[in-house]
Amino acid sequence: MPIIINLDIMLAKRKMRSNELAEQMGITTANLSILKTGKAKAIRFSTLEAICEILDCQPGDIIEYIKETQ
Amino acid sequence: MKKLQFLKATLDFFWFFSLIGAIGILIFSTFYLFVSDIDIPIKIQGQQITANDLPSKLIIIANIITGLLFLFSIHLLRKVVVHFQKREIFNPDVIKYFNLIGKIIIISSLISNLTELIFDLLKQEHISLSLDFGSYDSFLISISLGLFFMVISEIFKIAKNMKEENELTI
Repeated sequence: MPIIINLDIMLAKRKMRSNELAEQMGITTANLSILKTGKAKAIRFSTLEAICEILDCQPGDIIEYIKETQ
Repeated sequence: MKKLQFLKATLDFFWFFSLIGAIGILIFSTFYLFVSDIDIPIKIQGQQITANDLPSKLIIIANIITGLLFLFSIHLLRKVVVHFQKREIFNPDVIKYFNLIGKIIIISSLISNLTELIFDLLKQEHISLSLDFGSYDSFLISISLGLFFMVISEIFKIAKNMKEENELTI
């Protein structure tokens, strides 16, 4: 999929661990792992809002579009 | 889910006795077609057939194949019901089995009706087309039933994708 999730980079920048973020967001670490690894098929606005609020960033910092090469 | 248990019990009962019948028919037909010299008339789909020539033998073999295919589709249906009992509704096997059941019903229906048509043409020297009304034993109903199973398979495939998408929405 050409949509890349840069959650790892933002977590590293904020020096925060995945389980801390999951705990603050109120989701399971398994679900956060699905999001981080790019296995997720969709993301809710409420989830995006929570990530942006906790990591103090913009949606564009987490989600990136990279054109697929044929 | 009492209906599911009843369905499983009915299918198991039918499967068990059909299997015994199929084994008996296989043994008898092998003896009747290839070993024995006695010409006992057999009634297949309302027609008296004696296996003394090739077209008669072919129609008997085709009917045995049709019966075995039907039995295999019942076996697959039992497998589907077992998946349903385990609450594995959108299992890939269920989708595969539904599609296969549909194909088997269509193929067996075609084999049965085509051989009957060829037999009529060769032995009775006439072609007849009958459209049964108010019966489940009709060619068109069999084809429709086969297609219905294939459509069910497609629906289950769509539902499986929707379920996956729903589960992978964070």
